[in-house]
Amino acid sequence: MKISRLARFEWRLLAGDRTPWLLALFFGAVLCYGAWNGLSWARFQRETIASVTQEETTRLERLSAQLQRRADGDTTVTVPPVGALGAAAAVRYAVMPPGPLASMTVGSSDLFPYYAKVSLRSKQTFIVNDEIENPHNLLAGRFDLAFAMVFVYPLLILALTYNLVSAEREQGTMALLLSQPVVPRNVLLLKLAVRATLVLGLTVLCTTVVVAATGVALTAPGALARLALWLGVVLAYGAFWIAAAVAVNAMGRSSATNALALLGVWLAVVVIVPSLVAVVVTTRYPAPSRVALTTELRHVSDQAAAQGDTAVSQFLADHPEMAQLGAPSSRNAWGRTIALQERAEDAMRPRYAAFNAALFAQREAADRLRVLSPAILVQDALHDVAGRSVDRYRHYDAQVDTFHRGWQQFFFRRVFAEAAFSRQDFAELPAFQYEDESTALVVGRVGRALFFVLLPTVLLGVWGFRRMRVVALLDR
Amino acid sequence: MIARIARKEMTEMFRDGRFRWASAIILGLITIATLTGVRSFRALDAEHTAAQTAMRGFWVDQGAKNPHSAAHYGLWVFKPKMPLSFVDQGVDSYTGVTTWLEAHKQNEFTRRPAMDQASVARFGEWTAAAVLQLLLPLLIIMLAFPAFAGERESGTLRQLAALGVPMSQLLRGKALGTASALGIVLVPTTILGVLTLALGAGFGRGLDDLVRFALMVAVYLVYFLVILVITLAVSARASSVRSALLVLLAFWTVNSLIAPRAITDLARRLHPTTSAFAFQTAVANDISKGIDGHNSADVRRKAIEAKTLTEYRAITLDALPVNFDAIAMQASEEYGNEVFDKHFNGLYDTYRAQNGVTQLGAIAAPLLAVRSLSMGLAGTDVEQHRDFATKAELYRRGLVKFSNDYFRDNTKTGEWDWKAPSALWAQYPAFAYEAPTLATMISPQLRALGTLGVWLVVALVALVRAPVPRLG
Repeated sequence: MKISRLARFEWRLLAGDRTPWLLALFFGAVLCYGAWNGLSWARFQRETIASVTQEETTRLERLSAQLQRRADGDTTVTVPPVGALGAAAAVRYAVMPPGPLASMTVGSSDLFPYYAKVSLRSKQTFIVNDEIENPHNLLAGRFDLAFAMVFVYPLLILALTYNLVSAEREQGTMALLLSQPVVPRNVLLLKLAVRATLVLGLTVLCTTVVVAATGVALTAPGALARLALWLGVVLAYGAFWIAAAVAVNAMGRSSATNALALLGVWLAVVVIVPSLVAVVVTTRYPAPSRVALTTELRHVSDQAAAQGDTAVSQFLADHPEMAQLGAPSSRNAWGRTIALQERAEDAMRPRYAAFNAALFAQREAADRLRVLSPAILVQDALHDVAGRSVDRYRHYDAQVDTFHRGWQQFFFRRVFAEAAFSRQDFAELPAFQYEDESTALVVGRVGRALFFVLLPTVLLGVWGFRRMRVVALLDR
Repeated sequence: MIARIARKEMTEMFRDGRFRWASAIILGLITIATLTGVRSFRALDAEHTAAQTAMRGFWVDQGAKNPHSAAHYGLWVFKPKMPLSFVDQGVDSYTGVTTWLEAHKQNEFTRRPAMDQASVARFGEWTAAAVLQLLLPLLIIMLAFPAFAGERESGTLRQLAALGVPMSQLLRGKALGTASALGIVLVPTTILGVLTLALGAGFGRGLDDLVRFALMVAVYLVYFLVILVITLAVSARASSVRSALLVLLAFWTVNSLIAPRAITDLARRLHPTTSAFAFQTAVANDISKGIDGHNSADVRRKAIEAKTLTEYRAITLDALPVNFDAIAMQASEEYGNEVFDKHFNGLYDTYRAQNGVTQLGAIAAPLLAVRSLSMGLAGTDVEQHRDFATKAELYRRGLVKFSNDYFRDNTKTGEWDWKAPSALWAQYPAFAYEAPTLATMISPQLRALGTLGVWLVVALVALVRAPVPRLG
């Protein structure tokens, strides 16, 4: 009874003030704008994927018709040589469609390709397939829901909680409160609980409404679990900032000092620590050089080309399964091209491996260091949940690798066998189907992030709570 | 009087432990940023120069070859790092660093360094520019928010007024005091920058870079002045210290955090770019079907054939003293160049329009103008990238024309097996990029200059006309 009455009073106080309403309005607008931007990007990607798929369908239908006419004995029809089919005319796209929650963030997805025109050529020729974007926009970053959550949402929480205790003291109501037959700390906690419920409730509600309004398919596999994860991460991050506010309030300083101190914490967590982590990671574990890789690839390709026949026979010696089909005749230009290309790729393989190992080391270091700031953890977790993480891209990239190898095998055999491309071959053309990461995998990664967000939350909260009893109520 | 007020303000600030700490931290952060900036400049510069030399070597040593095969072989060019990137990295991480120059095709720049960075890098790069743009304004706000509001709350403002201190002088004195206190951060920072520039004499362009650096200093000083005047004005009019602080922090948040992203997304909506797929399809369509849709590749080839035969008064292509294949290739090359110009210029113009919206957004958030000018002066903005891309493309066109012309003059039609001597390739000069002069960067930055100018005028007027602070 007493609790509910106190809560009602606190609510009336808040509702009577203009600031919370303005803040709520502002935050609502931020969320809507963020969701709108995310939605536009997801729609853009879906439309691009649709036109890419359309192009593939038209091209393959034409090829199919040509093969049919040739099979029917029409001699006027010219079908490209098998190698050219595998390199251009028959190629297929490996598409990574946006996940069910894709419209919630842009994340890393503006930097990484989401479709690849896989051919029998080396991977380097088709994987660099950047979407067009003004570099200035990439630098500024997107105004999406994840941005609103990581950067703006803490400010909303801090604006409502920075003077929780100090205002009572400065308004002189603390003395009044202390004279009442209540435990002061409990009253303060209740005030906090009302405000926290308000912010967190508003956020959860707004997010859910926005998600529903943007037409996220909650029936898609894993969508509900991911949405729950998203809300879980948001709640944990909110709890972290509330705990920080409690701890600062418990130091018993003035409202202005509290505001400055909390702003300092916010700045450190959201701006400074992430940037310094980035500096440490990039200096200690510099990204491997794609520039050097480009030069080396050209060098080994030249070497293979200069060796000519030697390189071709070397390739056949290394790949008996191809040699079995018969050495490419001098007229088999594609056979030679492939042999030279694979010779260069074989030489590059250790370089690619070293490159990937260096990238991996950098990512490992970043993963270790990100526990230093809940903001990094939360941003990565939100991107992860929405299927916009670098991890999802790597997952896709690995599938592209497998598909590419299969595609190459399919065509290499036929090129070396020097048989015409039949309708049977056409029917057997490999197709790419993206397999999304299992939800369990995402839950595991996000769960780890949640743990490291909640750890400082609990420490700060407990410390602040204990200290509030002794210090906060004294008049300084 | 002004000097005395200023001295009092300064002494007070120097005695404040928080100010000393904040200045030390900011100076430390700037030093770290500058040193890592110089380090990364050196490393990347060396790497790109080495790669460029290697590519040139591959081109020169490609041996006897058909000129057209040589044009197909082509070469890669690498974007050089600009010296002042140690202050402001700009968009360097988000533009591709290399492109392949080959026959028939203008390729896009690929291999954006950001792709290989951990996702944490998206929080922002740690450059001196970032510290100056984000943290220094915060320091100014922290220093100056209680200037009037504090005096009012402690009752000293009325005393000062009663003593007959003109409020305009008080304002100017406080502005001067805060500005001098800031000198403790700004002077060492500038010296650090100049030293870095001077010691890195190997940086090359010398004087031009010094001028650019001086202009950067000027832009930042204007920015700090604007922030200082805004802070003092808010402090003069706010009802309390607390509300002055809250208003200023809200301004800072919008200026440095919300506006840059919000306005960028707005710019993208106002001037959307197409997808890479649509772009490539449009280019391919224009080349095969003609820019106007009525002038397909076959029709164009027939026209060239007729024209060449008339020119040489020959009846058949075999009778020509030159290689018609080379003539036709060069003609289709030139047609392709028109198509590339149309599409790539369109794309870069859209970028420019987007950036123009962002610059205009500086009316609401002065940071946007400063960011744009800082990048522009450092030579790390989109315009500089466009300049490099354009010059690389011109080099490509020259290279392809060189091979086609040689092929045309030394062979007859159909002699695809013919090989040019291996000494030929060195005759086409190496690619040497000349960065644009300072003057060329002005026009794309007009809106940034304009908005920052407006802010400066407003700040100066406020200083001269000094709004009367509330007394109670």
